[in-house]
Amino acid sequence: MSTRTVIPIGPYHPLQEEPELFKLYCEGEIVRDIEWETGYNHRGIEKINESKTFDQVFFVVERICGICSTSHPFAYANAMEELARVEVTDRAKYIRTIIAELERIHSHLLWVGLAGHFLGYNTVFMWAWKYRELVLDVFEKITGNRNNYAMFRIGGVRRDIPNAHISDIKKMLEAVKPKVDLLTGAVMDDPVIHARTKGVGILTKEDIIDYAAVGPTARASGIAIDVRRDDPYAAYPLVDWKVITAEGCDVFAKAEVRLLEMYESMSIIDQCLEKMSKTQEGDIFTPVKDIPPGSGFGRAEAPRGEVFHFVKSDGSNSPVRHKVRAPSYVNIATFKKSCVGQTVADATIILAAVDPCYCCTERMAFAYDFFSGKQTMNGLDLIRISHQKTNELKMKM
Amino acid sequence: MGLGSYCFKKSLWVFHFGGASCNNCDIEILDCLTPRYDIERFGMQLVGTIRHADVLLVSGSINRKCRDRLLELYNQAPKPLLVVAFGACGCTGGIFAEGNTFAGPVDKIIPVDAYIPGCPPKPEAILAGIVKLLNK
Amino acid sequence: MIKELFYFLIFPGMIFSVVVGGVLSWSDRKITARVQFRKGPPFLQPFYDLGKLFYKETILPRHGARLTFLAAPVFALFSATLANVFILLPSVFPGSGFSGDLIVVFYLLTIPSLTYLLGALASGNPLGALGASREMKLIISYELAFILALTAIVIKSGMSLSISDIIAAQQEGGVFAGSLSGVLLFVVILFVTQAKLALVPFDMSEAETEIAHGVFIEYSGSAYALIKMARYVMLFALPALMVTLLLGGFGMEGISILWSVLKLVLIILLITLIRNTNPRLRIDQAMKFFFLWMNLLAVAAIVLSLINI
Repeated sequence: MSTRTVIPIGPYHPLQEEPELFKLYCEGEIVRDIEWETGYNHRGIEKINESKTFDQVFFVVERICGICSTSHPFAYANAMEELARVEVTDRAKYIRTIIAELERIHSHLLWVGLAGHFLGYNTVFMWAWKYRELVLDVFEKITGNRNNYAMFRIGGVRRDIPNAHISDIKKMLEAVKPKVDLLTGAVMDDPVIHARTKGVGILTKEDIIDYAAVGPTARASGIAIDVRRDDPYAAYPLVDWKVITAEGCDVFAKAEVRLLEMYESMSIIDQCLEKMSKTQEGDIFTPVKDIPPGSGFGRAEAPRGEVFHFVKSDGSNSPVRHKVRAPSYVNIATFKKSCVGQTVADATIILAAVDPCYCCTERMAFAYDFFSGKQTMNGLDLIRISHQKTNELKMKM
Repeated sequence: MGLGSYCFKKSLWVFHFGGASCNNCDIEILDCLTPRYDIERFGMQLVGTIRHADVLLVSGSINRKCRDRLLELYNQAPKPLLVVAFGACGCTGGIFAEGNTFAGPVDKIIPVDAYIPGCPPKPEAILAGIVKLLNK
Repeated sequence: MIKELFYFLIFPGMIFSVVVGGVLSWSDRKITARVQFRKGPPFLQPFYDLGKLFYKETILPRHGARLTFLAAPVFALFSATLANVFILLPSVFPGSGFSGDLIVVFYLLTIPSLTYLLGALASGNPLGALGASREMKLIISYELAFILALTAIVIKSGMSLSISDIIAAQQEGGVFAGSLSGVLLFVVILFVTQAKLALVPFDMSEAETEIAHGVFIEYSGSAYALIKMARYVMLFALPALMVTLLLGGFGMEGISILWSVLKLVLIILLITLIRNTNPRLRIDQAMKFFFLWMNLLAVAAIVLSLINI
């Protein structure tokens, strides 16, 4: 162990915009072991949610992660609707699906750009993000904001997409398509990109099953796992689409899956807009009177994989327990398999390839005293901290 | 105004400290580099190490674990250094201020020169904030 | 003595090279920006950067060799400048220089990379050390191709080791880049230049997103300003060497000044385009690239020069 150098990736490192510490134990340039340390991004969201009303929780879960700011409310809405046994109107389903798929496009474009940036290919970064702006324009038109859309509520959505806007939105999306073509061509045919990404960070089918990885990470290894198909929700059963998989198992296959998924998303949005125009305008939510005691869980396919929310209610107006599991939580564990034995240069692109979202994943980290090996903080301490904080807030009021 | 401080304003290199954030602010900061906003016009660029930084851009609420790191980074930076609190969480703690791990907004830990509020601030707001910072 | 000092410090030495290098660095950034649909930095940006860095505090590593850490940028700047003086003097004052100055230039151009490496190791930062080890591997891989290419040029000029003789040979028999072996040499030296300047695809020693500026990670303030200056000078010196050895050198009177500028800009344009249309290579791929392909090309060029093609 002592001959190994520790190369820290993070916590404040240009590779990741988010704070997260990976310790690469290296011999020369070869990574022999990897350790992951969390806690830099812990915000205590599940605890915050217990003090919010069911409607307010939407705004908190939206801010679990900025890039998946639809997936978390989506899963939460699914959970609440199961709990309250509400049926959502068709128009609301279509609008939800449109927002979720737009988010997938912008998130995948963002990833393509960042992957280029991590490889030192800044031109791809700039181009992908330039075209991502077009998608954000569509968002701004539909929801009024570039991120954090606040579209979801229990039983439906908050804002309607007027039928008069549909042709405009279609036109804006058509402008995106040739750009995605261009980008796909630039990435798929570049020999140097092939040299850097093919055969790097291999995750075989067995590894994926062992680590229970989800989303594009699993689909790039030939496992067709997709919540949208396996556990249909919203308008996905009503439209025609297919799950994209690739057999490469490497970083390049992950890029391929993401690029091709964008086309599927565009076709889903097209069909949804078409079908939505035939439904009644303004019929966007079912009123919900009160939430019965009980529990519900909801799943949604985020751009990175399956998001899972569990909500427990005791009949009051706020959740008793709210549990979130984000896709990166399982995907990050695969680094142990894919990074070991690679060089540091490859390890960085492998880290980026699962599109890890650390703010979704963040868990409480137990602190150990380095010298004595004693645990300095445990669950009871957490509750103590929480009480302290509540008292502080009370004093302010 | 001396030549040094004139050059300083013309060439701000930004180090981005992502506290306990939701990632949206971080994405909008990167967005400022891209063709539609192109912050390099003002001579700004993102740098990867605090030793090269002139601006410490702090986004996200600060929790107990990253408070000490923020302080340490501030001490490691070559002075003069400007500190910008970014986004609702950076300015006040935002929606996460009531969380049990929250350790005070940025200005309770290090001196802050400018605030850019918003959740997340639009790139236009970021540019406006920068212009204000430059004219300060 | 005064004359030599003037050559070294003002023209074509330090001040002139830093200014021209700064302008070239601006054009590099501007071309990059245009490729990426951006507007790019203002014209004086490189000099603002320098001014700012001199204005900032310089931080020394607590657990490092401070003297080496500080001396490294100074040596980098001086050797780069000296190399540039030796490259430019024969063009500016025809007939100046001495026999063997090509070899001196070759060694001087290696020193900046070596000093970056030493400075990084002196800083005691693990990422810096990783960058230094990459820089070392890179130096080992490109120097052989570089010396082979220079050998081919010496053969083409009729076994002369003096830069002014090489320029004279081109003025008589046409520029070297006009022949087949010359084209091969152009390619080899272009990639070596790319690697010496640490630009993508050979920027692994300072790869920002992997090891956070690698070898320069601990430098701040004036020390980093000296490194910036050395890099500006290198950005001038290496294309200038290419122009001198392969494109017939710089003319200094009348319309030929325009031609000289165009040659320089052409090479900068090529370098910038390569850097913007490629991702970064892994260090082992870069070594393979130089050891196998570039050496092969250089040897082919030597053979072709011997039979005068």
